[in-house]
Amino acid sequence: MSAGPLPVETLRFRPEDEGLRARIRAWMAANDPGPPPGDFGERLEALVRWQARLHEAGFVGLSWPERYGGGGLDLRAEAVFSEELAASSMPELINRIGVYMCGPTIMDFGDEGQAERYLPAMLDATESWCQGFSEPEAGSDLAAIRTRGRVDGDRILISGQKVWTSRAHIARRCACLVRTEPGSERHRGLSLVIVDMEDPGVNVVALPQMLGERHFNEVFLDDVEARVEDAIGGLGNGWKAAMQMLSYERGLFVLERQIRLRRALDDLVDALLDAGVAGEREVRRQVGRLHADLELLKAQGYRTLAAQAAGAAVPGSTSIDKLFLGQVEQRLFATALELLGPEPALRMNHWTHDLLEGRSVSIYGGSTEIQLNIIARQLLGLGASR
Amino acid sequence: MSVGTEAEAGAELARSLDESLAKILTTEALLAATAADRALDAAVLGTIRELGIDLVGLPEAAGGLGIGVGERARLAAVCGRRLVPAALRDGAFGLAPALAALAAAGEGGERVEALLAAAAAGELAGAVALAAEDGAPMAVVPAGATVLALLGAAEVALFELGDGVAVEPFLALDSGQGLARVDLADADPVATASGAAAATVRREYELTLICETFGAGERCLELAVSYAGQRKQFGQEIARFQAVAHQLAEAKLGVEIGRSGIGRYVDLTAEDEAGDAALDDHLGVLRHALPGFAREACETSIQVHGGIGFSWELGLHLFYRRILADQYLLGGEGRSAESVGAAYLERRSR
Repeated sequence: MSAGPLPVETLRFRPEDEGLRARIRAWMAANDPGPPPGDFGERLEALVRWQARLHEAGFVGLSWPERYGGGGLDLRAEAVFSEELAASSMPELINRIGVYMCGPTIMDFGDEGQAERYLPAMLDATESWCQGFSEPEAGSDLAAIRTRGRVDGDRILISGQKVWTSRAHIARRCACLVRTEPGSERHRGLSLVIVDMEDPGVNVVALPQMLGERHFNEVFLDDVEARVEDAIGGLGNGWKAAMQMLSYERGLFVLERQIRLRRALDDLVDALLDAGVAGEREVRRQVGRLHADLELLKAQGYRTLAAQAAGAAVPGSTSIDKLFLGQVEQRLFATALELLGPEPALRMNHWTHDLLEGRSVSIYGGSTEIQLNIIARQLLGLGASR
Repeated sequence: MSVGTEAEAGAELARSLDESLAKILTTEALLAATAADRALDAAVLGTIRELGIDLVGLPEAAGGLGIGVGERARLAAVCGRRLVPAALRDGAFGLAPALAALAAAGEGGERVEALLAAAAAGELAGAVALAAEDGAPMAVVPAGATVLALLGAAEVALFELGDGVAVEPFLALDSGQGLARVDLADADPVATASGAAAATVRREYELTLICETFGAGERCLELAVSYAGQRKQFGQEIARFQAVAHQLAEAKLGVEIGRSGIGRYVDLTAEDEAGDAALDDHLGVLRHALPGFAREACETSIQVHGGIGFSWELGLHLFYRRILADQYLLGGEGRSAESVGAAYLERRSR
């Protein structure tokens, strides 16, 4: 191990990116959909409509090639849109998993047929996507996947169980990691297969999270029929495609989360100003620490996006983004309760809600322990540890 | 020179400086100077100056290298990796640019011109200090120093030492560097300059200390990773134990977040629309966070090395001393957080 590069490049916006930013901002100011309805079905419809309108305005998939309905621009444009959406009070993309994770994976590993079949419907949320990765016996040890995909001619018959599947209850498609090579072990013999969630063999069961909200699910698969031509990257290449998909979760996603956390910090600061405690040393110090956290998270996100835009991302480096995001988010809400005092901390409100929700960040998409293993192995060059 | 070419030239300069310094600044020599609380031998200091370190902060017009902020950040990190004597660091990255700013503003007349010429010739002995919010400033004052540049938020003031300036050396944690308390209460500056150029001098000196801690922390982590891959206990390399590997990975997180923070600052300096407020805000964040990350990397290194890490002979304490000194020259963890937080609350209240 020797000295790393210094200074590293971070994302820098050009005048045309700032022009796009102004257009998006103006459009959002004129097209506020208002608060989403409480009823689940109505809310879902409203969110699909919202993404469709954003797509119609030309803002969804800005970095996608135009032939798939995208904007033909680069990651900077995508970053501008993510920042503006997160900075507004507007809802996020209902099909963010499709647009930011599954779509790019198909573009990188899939073939033209898959791209033509699936990409356009992701953008306007006609078809929402989910990822079928974790299983009851394959959580952090993802390579222990048991869900079987029996290849029969041009069909793959899938049976098994997925768990913690976010948004499976609203998804039409699932990028599902299955074992297609009988007798294979670990990372070999896996395929990332596109599954139609309306197949009669798919059964989605709610798995409420600790706040009682439905974000993820159990997905039971019983002889679900998929097609060999829908294996992203071809049969047996699922692990590589799945890992790539996870790394997408840590580029734009971190940038967007950072801005939502920045809004939370601003809310906290406003509350502290209203309470007349802004002059207290402890308040200033804690606000300073949180601000520093968010600035550095942004710098890290900009660095990752600059590397991804240049095709120069270092394998394993996005684990830094993921790990730091978890630390920053959890510190923010814990500190907020400390500064706001006992009464807000005793009530159920958005602060306490977000404190509880923050526990998920160090678990989903590869837990803290897994990220530390990746950093040790891939960035420090240390051998496998246990 | 294109940006790419400049970056390559800067990388080459940093590499050759790093390699040369590794040979000159041996652990034995550094330990001896620290133990005796004295500067390194004049011959060693002279050899380092011959490498051209005095020229890194000077514009070409003043006989310097005229390199950009990114390249200076890289060289400052090398100072941390190799524990370059603080007096040389301060002369090159603080005092010399301060003199150049005074000269460019037409302040100080022949005296400043002469000092600037001495700096370009690698012969200047002087000191630089960040203006303290409360209390007297602390500075590294080497033997033979004749002047001190005080860097305020947007002002540079030059003082002649001995002219109403009380310099009180003390036994420092980072001993052998010449740290002293400087009382300027009864002194008048011989030259001052204010405005954008002065603010830039202050920012880049702060960035130097920040990048020095970064380089020192990164080096400590490298040493720990190397050691953990060789040292065996319970029949295997200790790096194979998650209890060890995860500590190193956590330290790596701090180093990489710090690297991103420095990168972002350098990019901000290149953006026309960024403005002074954005630069000062981001620099405040770095001043607060990066010494902390470096400290964590060093503390982790000491821990992972075990008993030998705590020993005098290995010399990890030399990095620890330097990182702590820089952290407190920059205000310390809590105070730096406070100033960042106060500015944020102030902006939000408008």
